[in-house]
Amino acid sequence: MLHSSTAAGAEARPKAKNPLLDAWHGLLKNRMAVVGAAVLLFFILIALFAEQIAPYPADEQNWEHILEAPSAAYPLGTDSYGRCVFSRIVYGSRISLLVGFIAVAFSAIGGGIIGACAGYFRGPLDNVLMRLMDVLLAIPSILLAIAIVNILGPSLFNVMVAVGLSSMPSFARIVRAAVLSIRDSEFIESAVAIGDSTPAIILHNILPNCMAPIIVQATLGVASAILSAASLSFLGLGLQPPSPEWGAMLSEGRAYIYNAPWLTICPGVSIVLIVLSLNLFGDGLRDALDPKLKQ
Amino acid sequence: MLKFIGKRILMLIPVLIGVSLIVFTLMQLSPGDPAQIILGAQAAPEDIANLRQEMGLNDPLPVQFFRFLLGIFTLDFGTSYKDGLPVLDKLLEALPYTAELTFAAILVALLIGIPVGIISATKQYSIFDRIATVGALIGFSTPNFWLSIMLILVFSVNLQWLPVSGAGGIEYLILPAIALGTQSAAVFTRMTRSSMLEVLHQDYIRTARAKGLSDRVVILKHALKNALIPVITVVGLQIGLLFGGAILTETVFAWPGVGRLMIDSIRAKDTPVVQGGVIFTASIFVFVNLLVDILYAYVDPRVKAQYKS
Amino acid sequence: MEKTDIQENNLLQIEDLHIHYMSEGREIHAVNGVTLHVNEGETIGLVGETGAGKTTLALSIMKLIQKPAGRYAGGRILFGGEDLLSASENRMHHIRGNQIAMIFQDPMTSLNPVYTVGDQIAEVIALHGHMHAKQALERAGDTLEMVGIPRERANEYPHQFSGGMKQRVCIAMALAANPQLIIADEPTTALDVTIQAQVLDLMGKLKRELNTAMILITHDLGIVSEVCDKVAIMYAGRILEFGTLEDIYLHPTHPYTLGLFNSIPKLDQKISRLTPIKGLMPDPANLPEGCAFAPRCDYACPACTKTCPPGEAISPTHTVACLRHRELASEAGRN
Repeated sequence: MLHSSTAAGAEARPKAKNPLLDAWHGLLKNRMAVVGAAVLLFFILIALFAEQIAPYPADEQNWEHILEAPSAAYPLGTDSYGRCVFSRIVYGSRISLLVGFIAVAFSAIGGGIIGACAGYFRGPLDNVLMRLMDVLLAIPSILLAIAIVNILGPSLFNVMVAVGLSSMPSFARIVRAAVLSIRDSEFIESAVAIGDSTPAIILHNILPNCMAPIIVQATLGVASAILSAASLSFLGLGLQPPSPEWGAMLSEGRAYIYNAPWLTICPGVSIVLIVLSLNLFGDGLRDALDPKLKQ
Repeated sequence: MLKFIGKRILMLIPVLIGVSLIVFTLMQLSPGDPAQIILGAQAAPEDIANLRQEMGLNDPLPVQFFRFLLGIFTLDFGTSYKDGLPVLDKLLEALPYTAELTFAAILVALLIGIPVGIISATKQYSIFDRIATVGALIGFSTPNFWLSIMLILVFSVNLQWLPVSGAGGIEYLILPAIALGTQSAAVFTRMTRSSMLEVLHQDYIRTARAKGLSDRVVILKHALKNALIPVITVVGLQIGLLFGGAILTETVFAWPGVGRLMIDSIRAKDTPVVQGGVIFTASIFVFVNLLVDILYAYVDPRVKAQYKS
Repeated sequence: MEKTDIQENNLLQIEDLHIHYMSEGREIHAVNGVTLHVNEGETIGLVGETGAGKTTLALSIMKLIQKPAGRYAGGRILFGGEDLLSASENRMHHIRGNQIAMIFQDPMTSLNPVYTVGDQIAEVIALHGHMHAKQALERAGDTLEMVGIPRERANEYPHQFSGGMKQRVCIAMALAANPQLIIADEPTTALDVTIQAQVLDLMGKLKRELNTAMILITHDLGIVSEVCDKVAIMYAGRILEFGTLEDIYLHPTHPYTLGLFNSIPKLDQKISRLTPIKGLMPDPANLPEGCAFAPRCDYACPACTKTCPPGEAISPTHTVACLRHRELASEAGRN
């Protein structure tokens, strides 16, 4: 009687030992996060198999079919050059995902190094680095990205650099805070005691233990990087018109808002969907990785 | 308290010097010779050389930077390459428009975000809460330039209720303010909701209920003031972000604000205006955040006590 | 202790109360058939381990059970003859703070950090005394002085007070509208030992002066013996033994009560080792059939795991819920 009751009680409250497994279960239970992940996966597949999916090449012009409304031949209509909007959006997904992920990788690595050094060494180095980050944060990031891309000139790579640089300070702050919170733990002391080198300690002991906030920030960062890149292109400072970048497509399509609204609706919806999926997934990740934040 | 405010104002100076240094560096790196830009492509080489000398462009960089910094602290941002007008005048002319737009957008965002966040939190997991949560995420994920175009498409092109672009009466302000304020409204909704949920679980809320206060008083008096404390910080950050975001909204709506001035100047390679604009915007951002910190102390007596000591 | 006629000055009657709430998809049986009577002006100590359902019982009297997670699954609560469970929320606003007030466990978190203590006390007075804010603030000063805090401190914020002082503020807040019943949920647990005695003395003194009835929730039998007239021993959502202070301290009958006394040190006996009660409280979502204490009870017989024992009066003031209480009493008599 006693045994059966306590055993049943224990079963009802499963306690996974592995925090990652716990996080994974939490993520699967979050319906919104699963939807986000599914939509994101959908876009990644579209980007990977763009050649197979798109009915036309991205820049194939057809002067007989200009500014046509959506039809069977052109699922999302055509633009002012008779190019297939659907095909362009399919190819454009490559650019957006690429810019988003690479820019974030760039700012995560750069910001991570700055933050880790500031947090680990503290003292004057911390002061100098973080004041620099404060200064960068005082300039709205879109403005910073505009200024940088203006110097570097418009190209895919430069957009990535500009977007990546402008979001570096927030990464540095997050990593610094995480490093500060664990650098005094005993396992770090023991690593120092057995004579590990400083870079080894940072890489092997500290960074893996503050991955959770970095992963969350990175996921949400991809979303905002895609938005920033699209904004730059929309302003004519990022990728230039023949490119099927969604922001550039929007900018081109604006002129035809009266007679061909699909030129502005379709790329915009694509941006919203991809950014939304990343935000849903990122939110779910944060809830799953950081039970303290949940309630 | 005054000492705290004074200290915070002093701390602004190094940040602004830093911003100036970054802007100066960026502009040094940008392509194009200013003298060439002013005189045009056809100018004779000796004229360009003379102008370079006159503008001090041949001086060592630290000297140039010091001159630039001195200019900023005496509110002299130089003159536009395009029309020779003082940059400060151009900025001050555009500022009221951007301020008006940003203020209207923040107002829209607060009027939507805070009530929706409160209702969402008090009715957690209800249909309203679910719709608001998903709505906030969609709002947060929508680029303001696209939303601007969609609003124009619906309300100006199809319904013809509001003008397509330009500045003038309140009817010109409505669409840009909504377009610019939507993302912030989403942020305020999420912030208010989560902060309110946290506060509603606090013991002092139970105490307030045990006193016999109605739900309305418990939520609007006891919970709200505590829940708004973290939201205030976010309002400050959002004002800064809106100054950045306004660049896009202003471009779409042909709104004659600082953002559009800067984009036009970037296209025209009018470096002094761009420099001035960035520093100007950063200064406003930093200053607003300072105001928010001070406001913070007035709302939360614990913070105020910290500053006193 | 003189016997009082229960019917005449009965203030609160809880009859066979059941409260369940949902937590992570499981139904927790927090209160399982509690019957408890409180007379005007008397103090009842409600004693039990953490998780025995004491706080749930206390909140249920105020109808402050979190909805929709918690629900009343049966029973009645009569306050001054009025059925609280069928009372409207509006009616409860009038009763809470005015006729029944509550003092919570942690004074550190029970006061709103962004309002002055004076405002927080005046709020109760203004609400239930129907007076203007200014007048109420004046009265709040009087109330503060009553609990030994200078009235000038009314303009200070909670963070400017120490823990013991904050609990005094909470007491002042509870007494502000002159309630007939105060429910104090472990009011001294979060305080330093030296402060505990001061706060308890204060509560005892004020209670006598104002003739307020009190339910004092605690896990500390020492506190009970100092302040209370009657004692209820609670375990797994049920009251296992109820009686006057004398009944419980001099003639403890239920094996659980006996276990509680054996697990605290006594000054007049030399014992080398305290005897803890073996085992843990059962999972409230999965209570055993029969007596909830049976799995831990040294005296449990097969019948104990089948039938849930009803409360049985063994004297006019003393009730025990145990199938074997007679055998145990005779056993105790032999010893």
